[in-house]
Amino acid sequence: MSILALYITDINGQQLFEYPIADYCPTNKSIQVALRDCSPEDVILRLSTNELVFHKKQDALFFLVPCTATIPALVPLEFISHLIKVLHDYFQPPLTRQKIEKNFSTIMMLLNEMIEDGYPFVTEENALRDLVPYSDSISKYLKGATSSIKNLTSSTTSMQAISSADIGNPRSNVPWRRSNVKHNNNELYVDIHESLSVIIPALSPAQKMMNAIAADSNPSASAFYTVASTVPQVLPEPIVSIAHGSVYATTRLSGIPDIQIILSFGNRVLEGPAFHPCVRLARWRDHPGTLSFVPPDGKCCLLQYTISGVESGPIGGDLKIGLGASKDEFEVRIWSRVPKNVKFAENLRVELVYDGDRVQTIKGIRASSGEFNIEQKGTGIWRFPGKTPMGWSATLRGTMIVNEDLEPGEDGTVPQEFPKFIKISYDCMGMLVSGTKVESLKITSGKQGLMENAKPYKGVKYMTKGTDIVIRG
Amino acid sequence: MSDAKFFAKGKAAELRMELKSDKKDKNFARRKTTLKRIVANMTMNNNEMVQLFSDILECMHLNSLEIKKMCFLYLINYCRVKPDLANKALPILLADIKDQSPLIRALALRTMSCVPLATYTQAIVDPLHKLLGDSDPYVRKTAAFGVAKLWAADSRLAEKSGLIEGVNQLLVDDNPTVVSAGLAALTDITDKSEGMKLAIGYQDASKLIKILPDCNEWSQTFILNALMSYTPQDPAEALLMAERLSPRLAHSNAAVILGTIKVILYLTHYVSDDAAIDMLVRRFGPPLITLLSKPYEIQYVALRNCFLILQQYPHILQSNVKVFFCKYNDPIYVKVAKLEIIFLLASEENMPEILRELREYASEIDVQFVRKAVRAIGKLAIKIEGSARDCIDTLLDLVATRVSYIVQEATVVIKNIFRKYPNRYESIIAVLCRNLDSLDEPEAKAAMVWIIGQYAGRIENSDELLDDFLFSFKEEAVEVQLALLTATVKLFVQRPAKGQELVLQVLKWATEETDNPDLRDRGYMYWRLLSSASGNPEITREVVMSDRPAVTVESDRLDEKTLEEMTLNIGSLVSIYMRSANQIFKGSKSKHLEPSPALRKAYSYGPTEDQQMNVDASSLMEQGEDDDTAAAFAGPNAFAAHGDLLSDE
Repeated sequence: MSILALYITDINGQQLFEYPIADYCPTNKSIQVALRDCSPEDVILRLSTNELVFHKKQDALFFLVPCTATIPALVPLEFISHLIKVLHDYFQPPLTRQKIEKNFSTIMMLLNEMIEDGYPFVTEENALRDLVPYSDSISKYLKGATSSIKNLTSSTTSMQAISSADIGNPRSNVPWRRSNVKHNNNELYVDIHESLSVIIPALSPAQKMMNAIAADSNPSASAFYTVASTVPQVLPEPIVSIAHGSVYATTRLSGIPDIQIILSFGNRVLEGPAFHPCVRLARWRDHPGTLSFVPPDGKCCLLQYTISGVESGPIGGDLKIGLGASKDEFEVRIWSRVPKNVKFAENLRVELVYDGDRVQTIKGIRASSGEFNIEQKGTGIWRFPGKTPMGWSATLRGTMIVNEDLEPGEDGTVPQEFPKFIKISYDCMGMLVSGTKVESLKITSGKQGLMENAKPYKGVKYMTKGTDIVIRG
Repeated sequence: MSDAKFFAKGKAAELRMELKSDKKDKNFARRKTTLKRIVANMTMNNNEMVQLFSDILECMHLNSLEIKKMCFLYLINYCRVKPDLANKALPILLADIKDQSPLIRALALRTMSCVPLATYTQAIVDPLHKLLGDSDPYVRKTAAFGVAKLWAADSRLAEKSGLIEGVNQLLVDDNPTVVSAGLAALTDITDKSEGMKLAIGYQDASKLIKILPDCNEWSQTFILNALMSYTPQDPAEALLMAERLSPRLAHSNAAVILGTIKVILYLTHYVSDDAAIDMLVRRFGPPLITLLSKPYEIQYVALRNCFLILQQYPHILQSNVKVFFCKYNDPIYVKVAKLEIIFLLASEENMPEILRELREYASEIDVQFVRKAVRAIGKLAIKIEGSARDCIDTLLDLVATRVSYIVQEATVVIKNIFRKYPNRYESIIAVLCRNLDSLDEPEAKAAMVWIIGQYAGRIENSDELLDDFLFSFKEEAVEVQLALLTATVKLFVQRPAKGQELVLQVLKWATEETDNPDLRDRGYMYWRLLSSASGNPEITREVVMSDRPAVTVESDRLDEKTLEEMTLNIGSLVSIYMRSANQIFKGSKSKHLEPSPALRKAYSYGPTEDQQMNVDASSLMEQGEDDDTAAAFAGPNAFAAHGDLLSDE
């Protein structure tokens, strides 16, 4: 079970970078031929009886990893994710053709460390920073560190220190932390992000009719005259509402600091928490909510969790169809709820999804605010640049024009088309939809590495990202 | 530092000048830059670079790790083209292997084992012996991999050298990374070897589990994989191991999670206490749900494996069926995988919400997915008798949309519902008959024809309906022709007066005017039956209208051996495609449970085994869905159907 090679290509399959591992490995050319015949369902491509190709598109690049067929599928898939993370860390996202070409030898050396004998080996950014210095690094704090390592690697005397640190020698006992970390400004930040995924079902036909009547008779609900308090009469309960949370620590602390973060999740149940290797699992088991760890230098994801049955978030919406005199209009409405320690949401956008084969265009679009554009076949996007205040609402009305060449049904007419779904997305700083909180944050030991009477700066930030709020029509 | 300008015009001569220049070169900065240009050109397959081999040999002596790294990359790349020059590098490498810096020792060793020349293979044996016992763990782990590479290059030499025993010693190393590297090397060798097999005893397994938390994530996946070679001899021992592995389920790497599930499932075969097994497998639920927040590719692999695990233990996620509900923006492969799990987890209790959800999918834009949703509703009617009425109502609701592909798909599944529940729900027939015009696919037509034939006695105008279909008999697909032939005979048997004329016509076509042997054979069979048994219509009726094998989605389950093989291969292609390993890979070692005093009888566990081993039988029946003769032919295809619950085949 091994990885045979790694190719990076552009969108058209043009090879930008190759890293052959096995003596005889499939070429990019043969992979491209196979890719051309594959359907989107082929997450894993069979190249021959004993060779598979795993592929992933990232930014404007394709990562192709041919492997022997017996490999556990998640190994190459996770490896590609890790590689992309490392490349982002070294060269900043988004990855481009230029960045790859500019950094051939660095990527080469990175892969030399990341893969050993055809199997992923070291993929922690911190360990790699020790092994493969990169002088173009933008972040100031790393610049100091990498140059010192360069000196180390060219003088042979202190190399012992590095080599034992980077592969987890029990003497250092912190395999994920770079050696000899020194910072002038000591800082510790905790960021908790929750991405919210909600499915709100369609109303029953009876409810739809009630809402349509109400919308047509209520002048305040028509476009251009929106009133903040207008929310629909009947709001269906979400069938799925899940928050996927990630707790990140960004530490720039000298020495080997030991940190403790206590989280409270209210009465919520954490489903399947997944931890960074630095977190002491026993401590969590005995004191649920307590993260105790020696962090890697820089940013890392300490904990990922899932909580189901959360609130549906600060932004709500609904979709009504069959409005207007000829019952052919639709109306999308979105609103932000009454503020709860939050002032605004950002990057709010609403996607309208409809049957692009049946709908020619949308006419008579009236939006009370924001901008609406049809971006691709079957998808229109309604954007709200800048900040969206709380306790606000907006509506969008329009009519879908059905393709003329569609065959009429039995009654001689072509049925009117409406949006099938709307999808809302936004970022909302300062709150977590599950109500998760950091109760305390302290550096319990290892302060001796810090400067005399240095007080590390500490900060906590919350953000809820509405990523997948789907409202069915 | 930018490499982009490096390939512009990297002429070999110019680069050589740069390398040889007498100018001052503080910290080798100039030569480093030049070497970077050479490596960049090499990567872009600029074959001109091969001319620089001797210049590179000179640089190899420089005492800089970065320069050595680049020179060695060059060596590995071009050694096959210039073996003579490559051999000149050998003394330099052998000297570096004795360097006081562990990084250089490791680098030189790794480079040597990557050069596929016999001289190198011979020369590496002694250094490997020494470096397996190096003081630095980084070097020891490199040596372990070096042995695996040597074995791949020359297995006889490697086995003779005693190096494999040396790697064995690494399994008791103090350093977890070295242990896992040793294990990786041994696994690599035993996987490819004909004669050798990895066997891990209790002490070793216990130690491996102990060091697991201290290893990096990839070493963990490797160790987990190797633990599959441990055969518990005692139920308590197996249970203890499984318990100790459970914390690995809370890892952020999906490969570790699935690897842990695989080992625990494997160990349960050796645990005697059913309640303990239940405790263990219940822990799989939350991490499996967490995997659904990963990138789609990972989700897909997780879902396919989840499906496999749930076949055996549906109760671990039965109350969470909602997490598998699809979002319209999921890619189709994720949607289909989720749909299969929803089907698997359906019960009378959660049926209302599942039906609402499937009804929703049936109004989506993607035709392929809509069809699968409709099919799933029909199959649920067959799977769960108590909910059949609700499923049928949902189907009728869908037929009312008059969308052609929905009506056709619904017709196909309704036929199966009639087979499962004969003489019930006949009121549906009228609804279907109103939509005959939208049928243009052979499968749907054949299904409708079957229904008309079966209920010819009760459908008032069955002869007219059949006559309509018969109008285009000669242009139809064979599948439809066969169905028409049988249906017409059924009409005749049930209503001789109305069917007489039609049956003569059809038998004439089938026996005289067709080139298809199946159709002709069946035509003759009916012909003889009708003419010889004319004196006794009861016998004819019994033969033509005989009971067919019951339709069910439950009776057929993955046979024990197959399911066993699937779960032993969780996470690999075998479990994703749900095909046996020897069907997928050429000459791979198939996995099976090693006998031991603790081994349970395979798959005797399962709280409600009969209801829960749901493997679809109806999809295989649909292949030759010619109800009256084909059931016996389903056998050889049985395997193909596993896991493709909702396949269109």
